[in-house]
Amino acid sequence: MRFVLVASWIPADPSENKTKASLPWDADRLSALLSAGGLRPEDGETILILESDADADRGAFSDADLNGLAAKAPTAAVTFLMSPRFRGDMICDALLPLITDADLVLFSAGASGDELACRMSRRTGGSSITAANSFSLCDDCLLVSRRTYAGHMTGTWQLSQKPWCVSLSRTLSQPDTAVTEALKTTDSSETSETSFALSHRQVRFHHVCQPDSLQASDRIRTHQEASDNALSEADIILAAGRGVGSARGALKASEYAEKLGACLGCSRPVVMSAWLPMDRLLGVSGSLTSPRLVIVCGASGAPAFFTGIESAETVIAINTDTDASIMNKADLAITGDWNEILTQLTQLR
Amino acid sequence: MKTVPDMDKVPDADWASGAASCRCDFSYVPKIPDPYCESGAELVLRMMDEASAKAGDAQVITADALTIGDRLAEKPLRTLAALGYRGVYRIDAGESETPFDPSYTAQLIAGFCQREQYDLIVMGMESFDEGSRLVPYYLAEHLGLPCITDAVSLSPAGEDRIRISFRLGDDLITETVKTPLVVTVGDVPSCLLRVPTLRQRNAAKRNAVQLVEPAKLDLPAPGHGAPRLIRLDTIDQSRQTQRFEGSAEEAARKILALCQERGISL
Repeated sequence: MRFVLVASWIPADPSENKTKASLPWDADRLSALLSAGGLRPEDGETILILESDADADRGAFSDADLNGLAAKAPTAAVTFLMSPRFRGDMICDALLPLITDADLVLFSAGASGDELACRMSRRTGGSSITAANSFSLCDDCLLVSRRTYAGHMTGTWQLSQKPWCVSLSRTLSQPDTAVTEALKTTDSSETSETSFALSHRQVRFHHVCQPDSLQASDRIRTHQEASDNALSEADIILAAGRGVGSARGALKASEYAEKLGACLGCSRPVVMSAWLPMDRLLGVSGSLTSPRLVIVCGASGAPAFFTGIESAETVIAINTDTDASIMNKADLAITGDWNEILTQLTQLR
Repeated sequence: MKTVPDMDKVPDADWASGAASCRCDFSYVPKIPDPYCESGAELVLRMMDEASAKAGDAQVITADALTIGDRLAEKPLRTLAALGYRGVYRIDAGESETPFDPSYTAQLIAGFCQREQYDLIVMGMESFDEGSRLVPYYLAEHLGLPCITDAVSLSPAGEDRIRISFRLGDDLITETVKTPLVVTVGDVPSCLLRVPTLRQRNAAKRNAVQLVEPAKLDLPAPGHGAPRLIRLDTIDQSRQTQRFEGSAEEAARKILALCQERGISL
């Protein structure tokens, strides 16, 4: 089976005029996913869609950057598709001739990947699905599993018409120590070459043409430095939920987090009320973390939020509602007032 | 504007029965407006406010609202009518055999939009229940329009243009774009739908929800295969929980004991 893997959008970092030389997936998890789906690297191609200035051949990407990206691709064939901006309809115009004989087209996670997967399925007469956690072949159909019903359930969908255009789940962009260890044990990863000259790969370059009418001279880009990196890498997280009550309560939680040496995160109601900024959001729409300890204060534990902390070694929940779903998802569930308990905790530790 | 079941009100046991039948019955669960659609509706209202506040701005922005569902789905439409939406429409697609059919939903919306020729179509990024994330992009393809995703603000910018801020990866981008286009709205802080006054509600009673029959729409061909749901499984996120109830000091000591036991230093 021929497959194509598409990194839907790799932006140039304007702050230092250097590229983020990373692919939007965890290499080990992707390898495991492809292997589980019965896909072989030699049967596939990777297409990397890069942000590039229309006037420059490769924009802000040096040969070293491209070399580094190509080396991380899990397939021998790599295509760089340069586009001055992300316009899903126009990128699909350029993608269409590149995937004509593909049975399966996998797109990286996120809105850009979702859009490309969906549009390409319509243009090719195939079928599409987004945010896939896993897939398998069955009788010339593709079975894909993904979360649904606000994360309460996992559904399995059958895609019949090819090409199957599938965008991946954000969870696949996070490293999974279990997967990494398993790959080390089996010693099956032969793609971890530390350096790989471009000339050793089958590499092509294409450009997405955009008419001048689309050039927005008044475009302003604000690069939001990933403070969610701090959350993703934190050992200890204090997660504030709606139960903190107010912006003042969120500020109080922030103070406790600092005293405990924890990184502060929160649930959706907190950011939607603007008690904390969006980059503090935990869950499927925010950061996916795997800390040693997370203390959850005043959050009900909705699946979409809990997905952001389910990989934590230890979960401690503090809630006044004994029936909140978080109280069954924690290692230690304490019924009580979070403010009083954290005051004591910071004094006693 | 979609209405969805309030998932927080569904008992845990009901998820298991839904999995067994591959279909969840939410008929008894209170319905709420989809939060993303609500934010989208509020962003449109803010854009309308801005347009009318601009001195000497002759541009008039009018907005319609559409939902697909049964009569229970009309309540948020009446709210939008009270808030200043000109036309409020409901398409009754009937009881679908398949619980998830984003392809048909997109066809219905496309058929409606082609009839009315809108400059801007605003919708939630994904619905809180099925969350397929397919409808906006299917719709954009049917209508041959660009799509901007995860918008956080909309402003009028002259004839055939809007100024839009949206998230793209780690970036927040603001630019002026030409209409027509499809815009999706995700998480926007401080963007809850405003509440109409009683006076506004009374004035809007003349603006009844108009029922649109699918048979009277010229639906585009799907042009693609739809995924078919074949299985549902519950997700067990539970742990071997120790429960504790006591004084705040006792609770703090319990936390410290657990941390010490697991080699975590606070």
